[in-house]
Amino acid sequence: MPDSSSPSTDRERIVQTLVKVARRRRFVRVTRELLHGFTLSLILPISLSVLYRFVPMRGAVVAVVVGLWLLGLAAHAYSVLSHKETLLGTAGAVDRKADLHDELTTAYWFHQEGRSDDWVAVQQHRAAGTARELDVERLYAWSMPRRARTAAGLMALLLTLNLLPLSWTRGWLEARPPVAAFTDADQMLLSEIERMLDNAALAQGTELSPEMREALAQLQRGQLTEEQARTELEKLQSLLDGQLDPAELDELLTSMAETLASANDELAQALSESDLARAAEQLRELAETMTDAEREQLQAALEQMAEQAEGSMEDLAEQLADAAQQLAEGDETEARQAMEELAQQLEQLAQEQQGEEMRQAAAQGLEQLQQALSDDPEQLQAAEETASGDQSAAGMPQPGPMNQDAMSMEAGEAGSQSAEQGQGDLSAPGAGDEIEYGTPTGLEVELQPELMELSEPPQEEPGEQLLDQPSQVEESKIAYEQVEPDLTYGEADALDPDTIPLSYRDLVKRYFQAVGPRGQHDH
Amino acid sequence: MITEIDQQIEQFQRNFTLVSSEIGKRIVGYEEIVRGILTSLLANGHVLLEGIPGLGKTKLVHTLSDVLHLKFARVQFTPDLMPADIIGTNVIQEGAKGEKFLEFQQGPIFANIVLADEINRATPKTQSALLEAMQEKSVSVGKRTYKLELPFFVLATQNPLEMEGTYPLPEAQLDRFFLKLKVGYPDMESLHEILDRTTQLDEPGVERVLTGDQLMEMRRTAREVPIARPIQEYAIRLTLATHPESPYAQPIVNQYVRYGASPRGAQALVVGGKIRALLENRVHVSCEDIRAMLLPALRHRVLLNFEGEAEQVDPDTILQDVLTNTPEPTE
Repeated sequence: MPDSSSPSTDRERIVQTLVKVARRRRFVRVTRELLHGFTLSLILPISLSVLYRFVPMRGAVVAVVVGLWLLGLAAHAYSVLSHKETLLGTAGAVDRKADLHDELTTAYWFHQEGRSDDWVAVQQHRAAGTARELDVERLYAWSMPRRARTAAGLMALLLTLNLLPLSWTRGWLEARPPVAAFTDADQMLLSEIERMLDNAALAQGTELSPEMREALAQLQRGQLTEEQARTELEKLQSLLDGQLDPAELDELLTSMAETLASANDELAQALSESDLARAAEQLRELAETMTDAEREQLQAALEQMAEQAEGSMEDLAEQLADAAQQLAEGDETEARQAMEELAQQLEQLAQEQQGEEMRQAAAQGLEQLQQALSDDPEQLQAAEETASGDQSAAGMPQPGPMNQDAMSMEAGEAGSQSAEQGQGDLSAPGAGDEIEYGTPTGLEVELQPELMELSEPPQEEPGEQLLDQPSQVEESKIAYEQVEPDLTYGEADALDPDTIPLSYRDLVKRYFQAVGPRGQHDH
Repeated sequence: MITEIDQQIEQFQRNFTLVSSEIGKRIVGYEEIVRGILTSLLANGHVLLEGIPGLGKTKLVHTLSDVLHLKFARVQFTPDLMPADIIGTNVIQEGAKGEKFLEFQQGPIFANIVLADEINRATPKTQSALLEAMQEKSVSVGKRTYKLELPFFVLATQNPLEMEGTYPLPEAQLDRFFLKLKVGYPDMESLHEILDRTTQLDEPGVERVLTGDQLMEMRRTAREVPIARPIQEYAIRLTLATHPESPYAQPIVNQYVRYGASPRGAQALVVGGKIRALLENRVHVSCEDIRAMLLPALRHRVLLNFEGEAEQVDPDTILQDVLTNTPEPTE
């Protein structure tokens, strides 16, 4: 121990050593605590992976759990890294570790407090010597913690559970992109959509376009990925767009009906109800039976209607204008011919309207299939509810009571098939969420009025009093003195807990039970 | 200066070892007791030795007085012992011309080392006669106060309280003892040594190795040892932990203790720790020193409540619990 060293040098030496020890301790502590936290946290994703084997979860659930796991890890890391030890604490720790009997703690505290006298100088001089001989690296040797092996093992298990393509693992590495898993109900819906589109095309006098038929066929084959299926559905939706707008047609027919109301009520009524076939029949009938006055009124109405139809439905407007002109010219044959052509135009429009309704129903079905591909169960449920409401009117398949069991059974089979393939359906709805649509249900039941026998309510018998009557008139109060005790004096005295030892109470009770009811023996 | 202090420490250790080894020539197997007695002596405190009769308590004190160049007196406490028998009294004297005057005859308390043998056999009144002397180092008789010569050291022995014919020491007097040391039965090896030494013709003799001045110098040296605030805080925390309902009290303290240790207890921990540190060749007090002093310094200062007395709880058990559950300041 060189005597030449000054007190300030001794103090510097002590502080330097403590700073070095503090860094070393922090490194060791941070490493261990992070590893510890990470090891413990691995239990969560492993449990999730194991659980996934038995209960397939939605992608959103997996994402939330993994997100929470990462968030927890980040919070733990922040808490570990933000914790800082004071140098006094470090001195205490190194004193305990190196068995220095609080030498560095004392020396550092004196340094911190600025105390200096001869004895303190001697103490710090000795402490500086001890600090110089301290081998910090050896004292706080970093070795691979045992927990690191545990962490490595758990990581290996996690990777095995998720990446390796074994029969009991998830096998993300070799798994193909998830196939759009349409359920049997969805397949039925697809068939129904195709049928409706065929009918719509037939109604419009055309055929279903090969493009749409091919898209539907691909969806029905079930070999598309989710993304591809979504694209095909969107393509079908876009192909269905841009046709006749039913709302616009309804609006036009309503305004035309108002115009026509002065000329012919029945024809106007048919138009206002959007019943174009009936309107065509009415028009033909009118052409045969109309008077001159009616002809003039009709001619004026048709001119106005032609103006109304202009811009939105040019063919109809042209026919209306032509019919109005023929009526104005007074040639009966030509007028009848023009009205017949107008009636045919209305019938064609009626067919187009019917086809459009079917296309709309098919579009709703496509929208429902898109919802089925989405992850969000709430959206799915909402879409199903909306679709079921709309489909009732449009004749879409509805889940019926007859095939509920079959539906759930099929859903279970579909789930197990998906698990066996190891394809990991993250986005498909759970087995319980699948809905199978049965045959359409019609409201064909007509409610019949039912005669019911009326009977008068039972009359209260005179003399019988309500149970709570005394209390209602406050006659249920009984003076304290009038209340007779349930126990005789002897019984009450015997059962007084102050005078009977605890162990004898049961005996006394049994005695009075044995001697019989009150009144027979108390005299 | 560093060399000078180092020499001081070295001298302290040498003197301590000298006295201990001299006592060891006659007393066998009580190294810890001897160390405790010498610690009290150097801390300017008094010692209460407790043990069953025949263990060599009195002989130990006799030996101590033999190795020190100090005046020694012994008082055998009995039920009929009066305070004046200890302190002394005024007696009528006749002068050369036949005049009468009162002269104070000093009692055995006017010595450097006083052995109060079997102190709990005297009545509390007589026991209390020691109070002023032990704390103030003076006695008052009549209207006069007499200073006692320093160093003044009382070594009291007592039998376990459960023995017949004993009076428990008042709490105030117990608190005046720096340490209470329990003298246990010697082990087999020590008994062999005792028999070898005491059953021969000559008993081993001891030499006087330390003067009063040297003792006073050692006392000064001991007081110089610095103590850091965290270590002192540990001593305070331990002391407070013996107080029921204190923030540091353990459940066992709340259950069995009526009063905890007084500030004198904390003083004893720190001063005793300083002496221990010097003997361990350190110039600072450590928590370990405080821990080593806890039982002898506080066991007689922890007063049990009725439940503790009824269940015959040993204060050492309570203090061990306090020791276990009170963390060091830097932990």
